[in-house]
Amino acid sequence: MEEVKKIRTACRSCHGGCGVIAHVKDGKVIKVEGDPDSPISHGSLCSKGLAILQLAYHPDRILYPLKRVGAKGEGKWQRITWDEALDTIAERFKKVIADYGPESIVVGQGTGRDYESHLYRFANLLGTPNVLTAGHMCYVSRVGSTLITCGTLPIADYEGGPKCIVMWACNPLWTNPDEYKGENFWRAYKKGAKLICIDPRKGFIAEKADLWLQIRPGTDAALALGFHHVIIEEELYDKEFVENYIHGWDPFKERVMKDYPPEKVQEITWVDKELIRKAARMYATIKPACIHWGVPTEQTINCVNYTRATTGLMAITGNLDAPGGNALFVNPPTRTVSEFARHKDLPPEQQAKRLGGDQFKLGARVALINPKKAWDAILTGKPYPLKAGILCGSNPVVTRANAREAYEALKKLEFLVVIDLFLTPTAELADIFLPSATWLEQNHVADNWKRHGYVLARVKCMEVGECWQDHKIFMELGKRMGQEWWPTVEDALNYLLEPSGLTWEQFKEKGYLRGEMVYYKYKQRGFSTPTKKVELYSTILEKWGYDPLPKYVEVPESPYSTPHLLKDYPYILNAGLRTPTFFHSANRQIPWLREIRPDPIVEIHPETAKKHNIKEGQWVYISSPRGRIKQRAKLNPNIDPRVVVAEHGWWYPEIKDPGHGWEISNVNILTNNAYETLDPAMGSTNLRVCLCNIAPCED
Amino acid sequence: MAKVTLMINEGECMGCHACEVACKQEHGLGVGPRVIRVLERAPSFKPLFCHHCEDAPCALACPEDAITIEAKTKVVLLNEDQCNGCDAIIGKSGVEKQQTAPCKGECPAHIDVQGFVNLASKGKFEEALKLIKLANPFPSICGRVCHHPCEQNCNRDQIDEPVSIRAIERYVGDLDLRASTRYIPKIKTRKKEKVAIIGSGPSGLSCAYYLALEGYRVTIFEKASVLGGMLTLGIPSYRLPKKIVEAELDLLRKMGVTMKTCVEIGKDKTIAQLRKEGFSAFFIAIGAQESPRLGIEGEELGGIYNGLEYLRGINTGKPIKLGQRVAVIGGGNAALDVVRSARRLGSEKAFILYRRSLEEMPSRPEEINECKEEKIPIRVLTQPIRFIGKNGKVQAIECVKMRLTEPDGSGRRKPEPIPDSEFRIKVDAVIAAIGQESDWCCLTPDCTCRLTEWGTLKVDPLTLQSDEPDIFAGGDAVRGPKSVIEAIADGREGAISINLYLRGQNLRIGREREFQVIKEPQREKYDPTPRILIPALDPKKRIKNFGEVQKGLPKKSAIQEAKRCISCGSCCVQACPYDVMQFNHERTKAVKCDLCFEKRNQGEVPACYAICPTHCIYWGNPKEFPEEIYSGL
Ligand SMILES: Cc1cc2nc3c(=O)[nH]c(=O)nc-3n(C[C@H](O)[C@H](O)[C@H](O)COP(=O)(O)OP(=O)(O)OC[C@H]3O[C@@H](n4cnc5c(N)ncnc54)[C@H](O)[C@@H]3O)c2cc1C
Ligand code: SF4
Ligand code: SF4
Repeated sequence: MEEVKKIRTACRSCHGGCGVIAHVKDGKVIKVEGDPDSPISHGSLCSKGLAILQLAYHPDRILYPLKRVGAKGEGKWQRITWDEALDTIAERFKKVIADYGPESIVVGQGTGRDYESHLYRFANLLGTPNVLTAGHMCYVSRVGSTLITCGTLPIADYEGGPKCIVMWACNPLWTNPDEYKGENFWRAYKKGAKLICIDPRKGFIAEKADLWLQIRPGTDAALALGFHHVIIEEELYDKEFVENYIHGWDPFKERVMKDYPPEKVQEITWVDKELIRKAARMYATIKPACIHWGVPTEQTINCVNYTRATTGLMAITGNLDAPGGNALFVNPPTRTVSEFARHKDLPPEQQAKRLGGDQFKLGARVALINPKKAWDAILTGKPYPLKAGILCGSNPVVTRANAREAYEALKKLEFLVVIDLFLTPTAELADIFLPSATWLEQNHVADNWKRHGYVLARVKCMEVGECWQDHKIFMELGKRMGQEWWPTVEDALNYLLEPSGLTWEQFKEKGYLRGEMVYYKYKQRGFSTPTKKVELYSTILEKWGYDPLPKYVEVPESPYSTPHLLKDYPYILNAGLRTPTFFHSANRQIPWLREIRPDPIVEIHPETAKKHNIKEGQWVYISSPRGRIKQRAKLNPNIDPRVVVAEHGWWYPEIKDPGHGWEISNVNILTNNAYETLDPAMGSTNLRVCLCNIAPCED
Repeated sequence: MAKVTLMINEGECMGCHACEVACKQEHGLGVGPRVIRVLERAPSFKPLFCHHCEDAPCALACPEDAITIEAKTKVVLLNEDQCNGCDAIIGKSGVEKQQTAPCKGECPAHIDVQGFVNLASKGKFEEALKLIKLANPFPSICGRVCHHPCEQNCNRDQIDEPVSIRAIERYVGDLDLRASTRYIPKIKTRKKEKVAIIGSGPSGLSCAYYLALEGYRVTIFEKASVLGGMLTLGIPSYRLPKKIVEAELDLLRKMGVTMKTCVEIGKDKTIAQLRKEGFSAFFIAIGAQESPRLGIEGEELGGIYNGLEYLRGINTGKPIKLGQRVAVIGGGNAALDVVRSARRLGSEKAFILYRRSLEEMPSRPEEINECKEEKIPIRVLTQPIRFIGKNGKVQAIECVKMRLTEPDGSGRRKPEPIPDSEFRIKVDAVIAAIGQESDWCCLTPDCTCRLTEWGTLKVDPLTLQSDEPDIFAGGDAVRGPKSVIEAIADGREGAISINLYLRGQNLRIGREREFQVIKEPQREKYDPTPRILIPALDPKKRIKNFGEVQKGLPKKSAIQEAKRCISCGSCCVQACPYDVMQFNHERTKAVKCDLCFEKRNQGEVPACYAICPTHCIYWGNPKEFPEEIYSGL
């Protein structure tokens, strides 16, 4: 027997990045613990990361490539070799390319898992512009919106010592999103920062906050513009910055002053106007102050409006690229995802064929398509049919709006490849299943797509079955398609690392690289926008034909926009409540985690529950114009009685039928994906808000 | 070993549950009880280090119902408003004591005595029974024959006399024994593993009881034709009626335990054979059923018997007939039982010969007393040196007078013969009751288990595991001739070890316990009633038969006696087998949890502490915790 080896690596059980020390014995990982020396997580870890061994060694994991032998979705599979799997896929893809063109292949992924560099390279070299990710309503959408506003994504600079924190629609202590770790937020808070929490629910952070603004779900853009109103009216903005670095101040000011006085914003957002004033003043007068915002603000028709308005708040208060404000971090000297992915090599005529590219121009600018465009292309053949697809780490049947449509489309797609750890409801619709690897089974330069200025070494600690890390799958499939790749995964990493002067082996030893931070970079070179200023008035949007100024558009399905629905659907459904144990549709099969959260939870105000005779713990039907699901009631006095809050991502791995109960509690059966509900520039889906009704289940 | 105090700043727990998973990973725990559990009480959270035992002893013990098991979540909760620091009970207990009452500390099974006595004082006998049964399945037996070390250091003694704990335990046990349906705790889901128990004495029976509760398939193998070991073969029925033992055996049968008599392991069947039959663990509880020889001249004469065979004869309905003058050699309980039995069978001149003085007699004072009441002479400082016989039958004993030396370095006074003091005693029969040893025929040569120099089995004192990992042992077989309650305690520990062993878990973690026994109780308020007198049969009448000497208490007296307890320890603190309940500054915040302490090397920190993103867990010396986690929460 071997000694226990301790390997330093980086977690990716969620958006990840936390430092991990894996204890490895005889080729098996026997324990993981937090790495106290990690600059990102300082030794802390969450339940998801800590439960990785129950995921990596899960008895239901698929350890070999499979091919479908029954009818589509029937759940009959046969083990095949990697050669057979990759040859079959390459052959089918080549045929589709010959018959219909590469754009008829859709390449997709779910939430960011550090392989977008490889996935995009594969797609670009294949020649398809149709890359379907979560980016239209998650992260890439904020990258795109800030790109055209101030050149890159501003990040709350917790290390820089904010004196005021605006926590907007986010609970990083549970979810550790992207570059943000709850732990870092907490350190800053504990140092005495003032805290403003904007959240429809009163949770832990609201409880701790100096001010809690209980907002009507989906109206964040109005609130941001209301803040602007107060700041402008009371002249609390940084005059020097506004004078020198804002493009379009006058038209912006005019719109804000005319359309978003606190009285009106109160009507829209349900937040008391005095509270709006207080919060705006607190944020504008305490320096430095940062805004940490969550994904619900992006999963609406107002995605770009909100993100741009909020970036504006950072700018006009002088907190942009200021220590302790919202910093524009400097990347470490490695190749960018974009360069590695060879976006430039996708021919213009192929770019022009991007589904919905002429409609969602900002989405197209960040190289993605909206899912409904893909489903329509499959189901209607318009504007041209999609014939084949490859989805990696993605479970759209559970995670995309209007799940039934997603299900129908994927079922109809002629040839579908799914790369995953388990046979999920989506994977069950595939023709070929490829087994991928957990983060314990990968070598990678991790976090290289983020904007926090780090790259991290994710180091392979173990192997199971014939599982391959996703990067290798794209490389090997790419080679079979005649694409230019490297012999090994590590060779590709050497290429990624080349500008830093390090090889993968050297980088592995180092553990991480950090870009050297310089604040106030704009003072030297302005912002990376066409005008070199923060474009509150966007010259790019204007050129594309969109409204160049941020505004608030009423939520497409709400008591105000669709009052006729109120009779049957009297409540606002706030969908997508996060849990500390699950990551979107993942982890439901991990015993340690499922034990903590056995059932999907719908939160209902006790008064509302009483009206419907619903008791704590009872199963409840939630219905919307699109369907009905059930979740278990939790009575929560800390939400608005007009709002019902439901978890997302639910399916039941323990149900052995190939559908795995995807329809039972899946909140996206209820959400809408109609084009008129999408953000006009980005194509962001409204995943968070619609109208609903509730009723107790009979049993 | 010092334990780690963990303290959670409840106000800063944000409900991420990471500590739960860290703890499970660290200690290899699957789905099931969580040592640390975060309760969601939106918008805040309440993390608890608590095993949330199914039959939480703390909840049972609490006389104020301040500790409850939430029906839906099965979470054990302390209602701090209802908790009054145990002021409810007579005398000011006060949670700040943090110490164990001596009764629990001294009881070899560490029954939560204070807990069950307090419950009894409130008439909550069912709860009292449940609490007792967590540590001792046979209160009706112990309530009769236990040597009750719990009473020895009872703090009530500082006022007048100890609480009559044993009598209360008997009352509680007998109530259940007479009930139409007897109390059986919930049996866990059936497990496939079979466990063999060798010997049906109290140790084997106790082990069977706790293994059956865990869901194992248990078979007891007994070499004798009757079950119960010394309970039925040794202890005479005027102290422990057979029907009491029979009722407990019935209960075990109801719980699914199989019992096979007349199977001697080592002769009729070997452990190796049982392994082949699919038994995956063994508990050896063969007791100490053999008698050593006296080793003096004339021992082979007729009319000389050993105590165990004599009692076994009586207990199996085949009493050995003796004459009038019967000398019983020895000073232990067995000797007293023998002489009192002989008296009851008509040997009117039966007496004891003991080589030391009355003070040194190892038997219980209570029994010496009863012996005296029955007017049975005890001749002390007398050592037999030779038996004198006629026609092969003993007729007299030659003895020598003894005296005690001055105390030696260790304070012991040794007996030594007084020169030229030999004399003779005429006898019709002699019974030697001078010791007991085990018959190790069950350890066939292929067994690698080892014996100690005292002829007992060598086991790990904490886990009772022998040198063969699947063999565990306890009771007299391990301790030498001791007591029923020690045998029972071993049976339970053995069951815990066997369960852990079969589940592939560490046998040691969390089991080392030390009790800080409270010696200076507060005693301003107490019930002045004196100790109850246990009703007993008239000595003149009782020497005529084997009717039970001591009577049970009536309900009123049981409650009255229970009220005499001054509640010197803190109940829930004592009840908890994991030292979870801890009070600081009158709050239940700091807890002791030694799971990680034992596992981690020096310098490492508990798993839950290490990963907590808000650092709401503190550990170490509570005196060094920041003030804020006590105040203002
Ligand atoms: C006369 C007498 C009076 C006592 N009075 C008291 C008292 O009042 N209070 C008190 O607390 N203690 C008393 N004790 C002590 C107490 O009875 C013992 O300490 C206790 O019974 C030990 O329990 P045990 O389970 O270890 O063994 P035992 O009770 O001795 O049981 C062992 C069993 O194992 C069986 N066995 C042995 N070898 C094999 C084999 N190879 N295969 C199968 N079966 C086998 C035996 O037949 C026996 O049934 C007394 C003891 C005696 C002798
Ligand atoms: S078993 Fe014995 S020592 Fe323990 S409480 Fe009962 S009488 Fe006291
Ligand atoms: S006995 Fe201890 S561990 Fe068990 S429930 Fe009570 S406090 Fe928790």
